[in-house]
Amino acid sequence: MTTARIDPHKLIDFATAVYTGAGVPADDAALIADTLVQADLWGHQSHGVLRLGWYLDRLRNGVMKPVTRHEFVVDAGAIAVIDGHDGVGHVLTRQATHDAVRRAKAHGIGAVGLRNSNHFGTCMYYTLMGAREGCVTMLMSNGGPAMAPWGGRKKIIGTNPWSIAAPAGCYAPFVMDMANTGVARGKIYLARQKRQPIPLGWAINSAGEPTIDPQEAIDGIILPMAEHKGYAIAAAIDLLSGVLTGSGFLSAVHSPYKTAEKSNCGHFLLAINIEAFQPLAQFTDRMERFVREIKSVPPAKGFDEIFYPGEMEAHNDAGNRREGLALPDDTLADLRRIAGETGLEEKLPEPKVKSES
Amino acid sequence: MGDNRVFAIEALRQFIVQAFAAADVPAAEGKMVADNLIHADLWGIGTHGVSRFPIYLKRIQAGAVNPRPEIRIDNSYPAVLSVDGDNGLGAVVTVKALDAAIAAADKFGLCAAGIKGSNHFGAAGYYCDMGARADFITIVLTDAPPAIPPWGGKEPYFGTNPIAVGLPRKGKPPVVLDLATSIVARGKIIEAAGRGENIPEGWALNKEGTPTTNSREALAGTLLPMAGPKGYALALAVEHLAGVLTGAAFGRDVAWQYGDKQSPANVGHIIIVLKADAFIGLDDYHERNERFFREIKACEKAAGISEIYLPGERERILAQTLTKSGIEVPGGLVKEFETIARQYGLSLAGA
Repeated sequence: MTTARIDPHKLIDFATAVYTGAGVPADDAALIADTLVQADLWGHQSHGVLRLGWYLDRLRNGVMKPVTRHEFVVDAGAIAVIDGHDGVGHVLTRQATHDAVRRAKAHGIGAVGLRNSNHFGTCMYYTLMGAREGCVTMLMSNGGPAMAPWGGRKKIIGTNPWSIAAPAGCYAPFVMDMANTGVARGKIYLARQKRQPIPLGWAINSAGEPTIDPQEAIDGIILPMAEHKGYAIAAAIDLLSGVLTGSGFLSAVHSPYKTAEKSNCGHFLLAINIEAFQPLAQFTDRMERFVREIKSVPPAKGFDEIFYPGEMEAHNDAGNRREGLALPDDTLADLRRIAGETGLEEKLPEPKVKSES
Repeated sequence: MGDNRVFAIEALRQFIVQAFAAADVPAAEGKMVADNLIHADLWGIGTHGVSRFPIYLKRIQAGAVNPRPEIRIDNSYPAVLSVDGDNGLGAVVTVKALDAAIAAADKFGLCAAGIKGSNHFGAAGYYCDMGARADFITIVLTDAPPAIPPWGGKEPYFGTNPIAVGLPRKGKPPVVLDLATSIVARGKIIEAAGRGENIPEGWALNKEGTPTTNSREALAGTLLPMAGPKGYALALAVEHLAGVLTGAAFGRDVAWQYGDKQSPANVGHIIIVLKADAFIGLDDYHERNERFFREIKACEKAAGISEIYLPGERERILAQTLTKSGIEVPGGLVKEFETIARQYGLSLAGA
């Protein structure tokens, strides 16, 4: 193999330095950095360091406050609503996850709504935190307008991603993480960055016609997954994340790449304490059987193996941690630009070709 | 097959309640099931409507479903209920669990009820509608007998595993979404097979794992998930929450009511109810909610579209019509009703 790879730890250090330089406290900066690099490690490059500059620009533009100040608007046993006052979405969501888990440990289930937050990266980063604490954890967020209600042709609903994670005993945790669009918006940005066409059926252009051009798709409308079903789920997520938390909803929410606009996004977290349903050991047995049974279904033509959600990510993570990260050239160029602007050239790790033994 | 026949809602309800009563189901509980089935028909979901009544009754007669369950509701944590349905009819178990969940959520802001030992419960959206009418955001998930494979597999493992959510509104019926994580409801293929019709491509694989448009082959093979691998992930999440977590059966252990009339199905459901005004206050919620729905309805329409509907809105419009006109029952099903009527000496009055 001749692919040049980057040491993920050094990349985290670099990203941390970028954000501390912008006024983010060290621990918070390390969190943002870790979420970005972790997304790359999982193989989700659309949510990886590709976005490093977006958050930096948001900090520079003052629409994401470097020092996060959260305020409990509701603090009532099993439920809470937190006002994030436009702080760092990652920091707020980490805190909300811990808080929801704490409430679930006492009440069996805990729900935390977050208002006036910011884009937090990848949902599964946080649901996995909850799963590690013995809770089935669900996180959802609204986002900037990306798709139309079914039958409409104006973007007013976000891709509104959501994730559910649960521990799976001796196996890597089960974790689903999806946008309700046929495809995550980030994948279209990645296609644009890689200068590749997108498959037909992902989006329509602004004239309402099918397109394979990523730029036309970005200017047009992404279609929901499963047609009206994706629309219905996205609307329900906006209701829980936006309407119910007291945050922005529909067109009042702005996407993270619109780096000069306040986000207004809201999130909704649900932590379910497994032990409120059955002893953890029993759950673990059942979960391991569940995974074994799923994986033992005979493969259809053209498939070698059945994977459960979260399995590929765990596999990628292990491989990328061992071998280092291979990033697209455009992303590397973007990192160099940021290093130059912030005077952190020394900190930016260079991709290296590992010598074969 | 015989002729279709239109039944008045009340006549249909009476008939179902009386037939259940003859099979030892208490009248109040028979009514819970009848209401659930009739609502599905009113909403145009015939696959989950009174067409399911004969199999429910047959399973009671065969001793596979308990007509007088002692439903146990425990909670070792304040906001979580563990419900054992004692193999009762799905609607009976679920309505009782929902009532208990609402009472707990009224105190704690939210409640999750995990239900095991239940049976097929009809349309999930019905319970979301009930919860939302009491001003609780209501999420209902259920597992079901194997119908769809994991992505890349050729044998069914997950049920069609619906996701249903009810959203309360002020002075208006709730917005209810209710969607199978399979590409279509299995009932649609049963219907097509009943009519001897083909199904569209992309709905199902045959037994060998090859795509098929033959509805009978599809019933012997496997449905596909909605939205490809995403639907697989969702079906898995629902099976996990409703089956693995609740202690109910999951995967191949969930019995199919048509195939296996003897053993308990041990279907699992999970209900999560959230008290809307625990988060932002009811007035605030309603004001924001109505603005939310108004903005969606006002979206610029695509070519050929006359109106943008909220989830469940078209079903409401249909229900208004059918409540007046009555429900048309297909000839084959009328025959089954007549057999049941004769068996128990009941009258079967039309509209």
